[in-house]
Amino acid sequence: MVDAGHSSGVTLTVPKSRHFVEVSGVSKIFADGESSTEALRDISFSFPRNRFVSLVGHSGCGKSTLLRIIAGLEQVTAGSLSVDGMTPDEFSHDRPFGFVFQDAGLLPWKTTLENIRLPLDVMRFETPLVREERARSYLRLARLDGFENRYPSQLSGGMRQRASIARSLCYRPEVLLMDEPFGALDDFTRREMSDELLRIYAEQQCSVFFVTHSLPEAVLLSDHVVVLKPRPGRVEAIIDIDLPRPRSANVRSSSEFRRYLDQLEEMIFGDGHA
Amino acid sequence: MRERPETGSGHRIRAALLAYLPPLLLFLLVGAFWEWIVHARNIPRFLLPAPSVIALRIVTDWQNLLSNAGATLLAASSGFLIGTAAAVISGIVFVYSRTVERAFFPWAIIVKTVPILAIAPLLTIWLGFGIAPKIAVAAIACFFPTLVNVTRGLRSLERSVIDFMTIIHASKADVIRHARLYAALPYLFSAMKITVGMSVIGAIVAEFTGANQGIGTIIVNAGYRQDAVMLFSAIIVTSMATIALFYIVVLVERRALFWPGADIDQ
Repeated sequence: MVDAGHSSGVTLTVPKSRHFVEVSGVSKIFADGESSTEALRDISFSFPRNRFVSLVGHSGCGKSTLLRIIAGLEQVTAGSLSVDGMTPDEFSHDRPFGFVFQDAGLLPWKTTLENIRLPLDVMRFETPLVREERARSYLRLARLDGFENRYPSQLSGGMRQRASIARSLCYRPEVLLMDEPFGALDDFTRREMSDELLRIYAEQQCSVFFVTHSLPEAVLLSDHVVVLKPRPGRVEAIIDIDLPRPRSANVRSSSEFRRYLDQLEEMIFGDGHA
Repeated sequence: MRERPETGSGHRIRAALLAYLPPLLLFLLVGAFWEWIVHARNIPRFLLPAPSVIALRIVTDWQNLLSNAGATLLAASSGFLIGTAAAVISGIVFVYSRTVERAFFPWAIIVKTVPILAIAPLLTIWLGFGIAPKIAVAAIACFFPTLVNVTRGLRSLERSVIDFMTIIHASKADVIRHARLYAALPYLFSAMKITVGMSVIGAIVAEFTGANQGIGTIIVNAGYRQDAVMLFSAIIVTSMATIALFYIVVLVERRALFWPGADIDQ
């Protein structure tokens, strides 16, 4: 653990019971024939509703696996996990999660609008007319007006991610999971996208779990940052980011922002670099 | 400003010429050489007829050739459609159930490995001398390559697409309807471009073993008479018809693969 240089703004949260999202003692081992890989060991944390939580750490620390476990896409080897007091499967039965992938995961044969509308179609949500309206309003939220009839391959990487976010938000999930959504984008687009996400998050409150490699992104967006250390993935610290909301892009130049960032960098790269 | 479009269309014409001129020239050159060598060497007509003689035969005998080619093509394209439809349906069933796939795949391989030449007479015994055995042989010839390709295409979804469909609780039918069928289309057409020719060969093979009409019967009769001119005429008419069928498939493909980046053959 890091000892020196902590400001008073940093607190380490102790898991409490009966939170909205509660992860306790979760371990995950991938067994593949004879070899097995321990991806996560004894992960515990819990957060109230509508918090923006980032998962950061070196590659191999199991951030994405943890996200997939919360989504119910992977099963835990040991430990337990609850969302609103239920298992992820029970919870998502009536309230499907939102999920944004690094590669967007749009269907190449559907237009932007059709892609955004897809979850509503699959869920047989109200009437086709209502779905159309809803999809259009999220198209606007993602600032994709004018691109509704383009196919994904005709969009830029940033636009594809915005479409993917709109697709996941249009059914108003209570929990939105984002797996390195901006990881494949260039630095400029990436920065624009985090500003966009900040704006979208302010407009539509939900609980977000956000896997990222970018510490500035994590500080800018999050209420809490879970720092994981690798091989096997364990929780190193949970840092609360007490920057006031609503935040704007220029919070980046504030001294508190800088301080949080330094702390995270110290914590993650401290051993060799600082 | 006024010159731009002109040079543009001029460009296009030149590009088209560049694309089609070399094969056309080579074609004419081979034809001319063929014609020349037959005359120069006095090659007898029953060995190798000159192109001019074949062309004349096609023109004078066009009604006979056309009606027989029509019979073959009707059988081939019916068999092609039936075989392809059966393959697509089987592929979808396989994607629904691995168990069914494991149970039925060996049968598909048996159908594939039995030589068509051997089943054609059997099918003729069972189905008679009409169009039915030809359709059956053509369908069998198309079935396996299409099945393998379509099954692969149906499974070719990106991991994230499958995960997202899981996240939104899409049913198997929804995944097929919204995603798998489209993902399979490029594979389907890539298979169809190969099997459309195989269906014609299948129909002709079925005609060899006994049929009342079709290019296959013309070939068998001409073979008995050692009528090389007729054999060549039949070959040329058949390949032109097969090329026509191939381009119909290509035309349908262009309409069906409507989204950019759909063509896996490129």
